[in-house]
Amino acid sequence: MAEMWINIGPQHPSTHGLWDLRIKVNGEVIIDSDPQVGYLHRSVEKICERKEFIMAMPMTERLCYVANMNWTHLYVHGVEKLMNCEIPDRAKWIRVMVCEWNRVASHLFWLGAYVHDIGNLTMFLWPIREREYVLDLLEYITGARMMYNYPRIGGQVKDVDDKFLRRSKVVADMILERTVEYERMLDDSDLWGMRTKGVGVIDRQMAKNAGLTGPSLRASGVDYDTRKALPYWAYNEVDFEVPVYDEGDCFARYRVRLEEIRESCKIVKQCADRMPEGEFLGKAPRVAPKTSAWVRHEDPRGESMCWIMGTGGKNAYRTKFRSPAFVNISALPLMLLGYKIPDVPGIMGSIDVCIGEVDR
Amino acid sequence: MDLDPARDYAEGEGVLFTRSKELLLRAQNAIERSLVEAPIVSTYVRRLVNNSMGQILRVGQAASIWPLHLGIACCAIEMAAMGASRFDAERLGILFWSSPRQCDVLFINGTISRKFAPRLRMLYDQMAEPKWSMAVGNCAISGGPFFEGYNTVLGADQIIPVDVYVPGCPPRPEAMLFGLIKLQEKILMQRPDFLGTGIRQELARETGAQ
Amino acid sequence: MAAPMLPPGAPPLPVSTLPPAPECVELATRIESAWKGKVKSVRAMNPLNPGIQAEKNVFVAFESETGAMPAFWKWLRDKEKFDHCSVVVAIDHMDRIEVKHLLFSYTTHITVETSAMCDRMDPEMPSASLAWRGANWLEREQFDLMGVKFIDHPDLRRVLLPDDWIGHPLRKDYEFRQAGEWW
Repeated sequence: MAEMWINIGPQHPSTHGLWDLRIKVNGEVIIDSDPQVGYLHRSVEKICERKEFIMAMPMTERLCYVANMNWTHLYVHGVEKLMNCEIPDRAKWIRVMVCEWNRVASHLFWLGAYVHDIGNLTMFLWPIREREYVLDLLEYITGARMMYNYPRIGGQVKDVDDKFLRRSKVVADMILERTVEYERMLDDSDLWGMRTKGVGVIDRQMAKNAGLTGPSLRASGVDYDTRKALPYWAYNEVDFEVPVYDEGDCFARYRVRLEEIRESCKIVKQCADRMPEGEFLGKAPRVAPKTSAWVRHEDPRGESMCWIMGTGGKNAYRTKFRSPAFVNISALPLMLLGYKIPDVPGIMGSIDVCIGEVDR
Repeated sequence: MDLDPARDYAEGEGVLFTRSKELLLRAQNAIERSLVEAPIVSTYVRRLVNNSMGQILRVGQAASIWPLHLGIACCAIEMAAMGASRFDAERLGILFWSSPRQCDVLFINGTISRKFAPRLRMLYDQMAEPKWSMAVGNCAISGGPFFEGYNTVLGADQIIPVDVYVPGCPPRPEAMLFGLIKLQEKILMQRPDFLGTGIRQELARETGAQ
Repeated sequence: MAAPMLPPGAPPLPVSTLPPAPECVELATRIESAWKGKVKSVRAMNPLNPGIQAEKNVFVAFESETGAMPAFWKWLRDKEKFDHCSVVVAIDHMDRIEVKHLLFSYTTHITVETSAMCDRMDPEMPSASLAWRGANWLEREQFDLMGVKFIDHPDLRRVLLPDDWIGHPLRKDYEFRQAGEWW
């Protein structure tokens, strides 16, 4: 049988971004794989060293462009940790709310793109329709559809008002209803089951060792969520479940993300009910000490980390972002071995890659 | 690539062209030769046929733009939103197509890095004539927010010729649709080209005319 | 938190008076007793401000004697159940390069930060990818951007930049646009 290397990418409709998944096939069966990334390396870490902290925040927004709020708040959180600056309570609850909304938007976009790869074009349009409502909400408070520029060091730049909180609850209820429709469309479908159940399996021990994090890890049976383990902001005061499945295949990853959409909607409703009064922007020091600090977040893709070292001045000496998708792609070869070429879009899409954060 | 459209080329000549382009040139030469018996009538007829059929062809090209399925960075998400539920781009005739050989437009929607630049040129070269390109977003116009990066190409027009620029970071889907309408206007404004079937556009681009 | 460097006239470091968590202290004593002489210093760090994020950190410094690091990492993985390598950071202080590995345990939620110094002209360090596969690409990235060679790494080549790139951009003496470049 012929053994050869096949390039899937960088221009490919299923890759959702510019990366090259090279697979070595023997006939149709995959025997090795070597992902190549870096086609979108934008030298963000180097640029962040030249800019002041707040000037570097729009760079981080463009890192993971589907989950902007999560990454800007990650960076600002890291800077606040470095400066040892606490934020007001209202700012904490606002941050939880917008980050969870962005998690919903990111998972909806992932769902639309993933089912589009597998072939279900109806399910591409439905989640994007829901995502437009979420983007409308975020546009109401920030003014932009995608690059929000919302946090500042010490809090948020603008306040949320009651109209936003009321509309959030309405949209959250609507999304909770519509996820039932998604389940009915996908879970009972034989075709979906054939393409995703038992495909791309990775077991628990290998997933932990390979650095896989986030929904892909929870789909392999590890009950770990940074929001529960090392809580930040107001996450220890809201009530939510963490979905964990044991099978480790593409279907389990899809189920974890669908349930996470539901849990995030519940978190948003709780935040809307319990939002405390007060300031939304506290005072922050101008300079950061010459030491280092890091924060961990639960990104829609996994565990992201921002490691910053200050200079004693207004900018950073070294900024390092741990991108979950970067390490998830490195674990992808383990999920591909032994499967066939038509399984590749299904497995590739199920780990939810956003190339901006991979390449930084 | 200095082939003369008025000349008849023998088989095997012009090896830089693909076989299909050679056949096209030969077909064009054959049509022109067939009309050359009555010189005045042939020019008039040729121009009549070219302008009328060519205009219909331009209307067809403008009304069914098939872009390449290429998503580079953040602007690609807004482009996907443009093609999806709320800002349906398919009503303008847009169908995202994966194969560059059969596409009309190349949207450059994101920062081009030096690792990707040769691939972008390869994709553009693989597209068949007539082709256009649209630079979407600040990164594709001039490097955008990443102009200080060591790995950033300062704009897509360093690598491929660009027809329409849509500024924004990212531009709203409505802005991208406006850019598409401008591209449609540009296509309709171009000289009708029925008998040349695209070779003229490519040669004009090479020589700098049109 | 790293071993701090204070130039004269710098603002003072924030000093935390909160005690470290008991698990961190126990882990620090276990590391000290098992690796006495091979480790330069072990410290259970005081959590900085739990209002920002809860944290449990243990800092292990190896300085320039990195010979015991592969065995230490394997011991952490097998005996202490640290099953996740979070991040590998290489920092260019102007006279040396410091490489930190942050390791995490899913059961106890403790982060162990191992820090090693390498010579700036020819930085070499043992690789943690033999203990954790997740460190593979993280170390490749630091090789790519900073030039740190990881000994015994199974596949050390550039990951983010093109293969024929010359230089390591994140070093402090790397110019943004080399002379004569316009794109």
